[in-house]
Amino acid sequence: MIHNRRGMILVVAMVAVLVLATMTAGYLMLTQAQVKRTEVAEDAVSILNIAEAGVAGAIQDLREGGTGNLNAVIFGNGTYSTVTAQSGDYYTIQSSGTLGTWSRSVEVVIQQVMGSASVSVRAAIQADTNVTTGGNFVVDGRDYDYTTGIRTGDPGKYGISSTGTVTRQGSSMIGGNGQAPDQTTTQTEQNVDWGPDGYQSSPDEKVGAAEGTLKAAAIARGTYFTSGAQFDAWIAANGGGDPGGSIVYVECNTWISVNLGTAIPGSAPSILVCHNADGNMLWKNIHGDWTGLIMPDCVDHENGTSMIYGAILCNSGQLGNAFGNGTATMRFSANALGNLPSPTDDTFTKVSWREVL
Amino acid sequence: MITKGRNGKNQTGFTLIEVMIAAVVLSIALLGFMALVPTVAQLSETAGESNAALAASHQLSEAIRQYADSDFGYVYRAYNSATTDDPNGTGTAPGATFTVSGLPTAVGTVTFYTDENENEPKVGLPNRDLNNNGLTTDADVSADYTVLPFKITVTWSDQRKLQQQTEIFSQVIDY
Repeated sequence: MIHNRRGMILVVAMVAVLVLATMTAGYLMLTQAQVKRTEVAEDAVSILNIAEAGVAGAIQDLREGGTGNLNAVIFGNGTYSTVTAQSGDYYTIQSSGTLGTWSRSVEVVIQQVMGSASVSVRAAIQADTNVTTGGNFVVDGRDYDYTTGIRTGDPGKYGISSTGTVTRQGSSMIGGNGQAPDQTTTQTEQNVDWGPDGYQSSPDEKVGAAEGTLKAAAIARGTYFTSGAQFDAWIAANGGGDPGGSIVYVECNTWISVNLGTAIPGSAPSILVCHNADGNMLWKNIHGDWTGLIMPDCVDHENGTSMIYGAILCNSGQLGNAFGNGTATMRFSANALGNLPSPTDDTFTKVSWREVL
Repeated sequence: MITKGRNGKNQTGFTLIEVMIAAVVLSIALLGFMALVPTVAQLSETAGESNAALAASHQLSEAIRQYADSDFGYVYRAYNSATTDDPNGTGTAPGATFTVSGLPTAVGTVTFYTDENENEPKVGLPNRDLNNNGLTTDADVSADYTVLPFKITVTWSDQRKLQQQTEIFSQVIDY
């Protein structure tokens, strides 16, 4: 039997080519898969890092008074979105990093640790220069609970402590160290020597913070003012009084006719700084209420119907400090000073971390 | 093909023409496939190198994050290029560069963003408050940052001497 085998070798060659093509295609596909896996791995690493960046972004937002909920924030080659839920002092932040259509999420639980300013005082009024009281001004160094306005029973501190002299005039009264205010200066401390470090010259130093901390904190909170008028507008915008927990920094040369507004019941203690770079800002004719710590450079008559709980720590104002001519009252309050807002950020502690699958 | 031989018998086999055509076809195919092999091998090699670079980058980002959790204020000093500010003494910190295991030509670099005016939209700059002082124009927050964005880059030359690069972005915050 004779077969026509013309062209058979071409068929064999084509089969060989087919086999080779198949093998090469397989090799190509394997490599493509490897490249794809690498791309996926690269994206996975990028996305996870974007998600981690989202956690940081959410915490930063919380610190700035936000909710910690951020939507599609551009970061790296993708975006992150965060959802934050609060339960007491705990925040659960779920952050999703997205690149193209792929996302990875991490969930971090953090605990907020509230900061607090630390201040140590010797008296209800403390100054680095001479102090004069007059009119019907009353300074009481005995300890008061600022929430009730009632004495705690603790003898408290001196009424006034000064590196210079204390002069009592008119009907003004000074008390402290368990003694009710009277028209003597027995509850004052005069010509006080603060030792080799000297009197704490700046507001920051008085609360144990680095220079510039209080000002930065006020700026960050929108309570840094360069005039009394700006402060007045802020008080008016807050219902006529300090809302509490504030760090207010007023920086100018002279602030006349100060009105601190009316105390808002239940509000937390605050810090008020009246200070300029030369340390001689004049704080004059003060009215209104304040709870917490006040740090003016120099005071020229706290009067009117002012009621202050906490302490006033005057700077080394060259003009001296005069309190009085009205019915103003200054009461030392340990719990007001113990609950001051922190000039530094609240801190957080990482409690847990997990990737949400 | 069947041909008659000189002895009159049929002889089976392929003509020279057939063999040559088949050889040409096979050769073209083989050459084509063989030309693909180095390219594909290179792709595979590069993919492997990228994996190594990414693994090293991720390892470093995790190290930075762990460092930040315990000594946030020192992260910049520990992972910047200067050695004189290393937290535990000159030359004791990891620094801004790192090597990649299995990739001898690779250079890994950490870049921190401490200038609020820098133009890098990938980390939200410019005009971002990095030290929480209410301002967004500080030229150098390396001493008081409260959030620290960073980029980790690995560059290397592959077998074809082509420059390859991976980069990841992230940020750490002071808890």
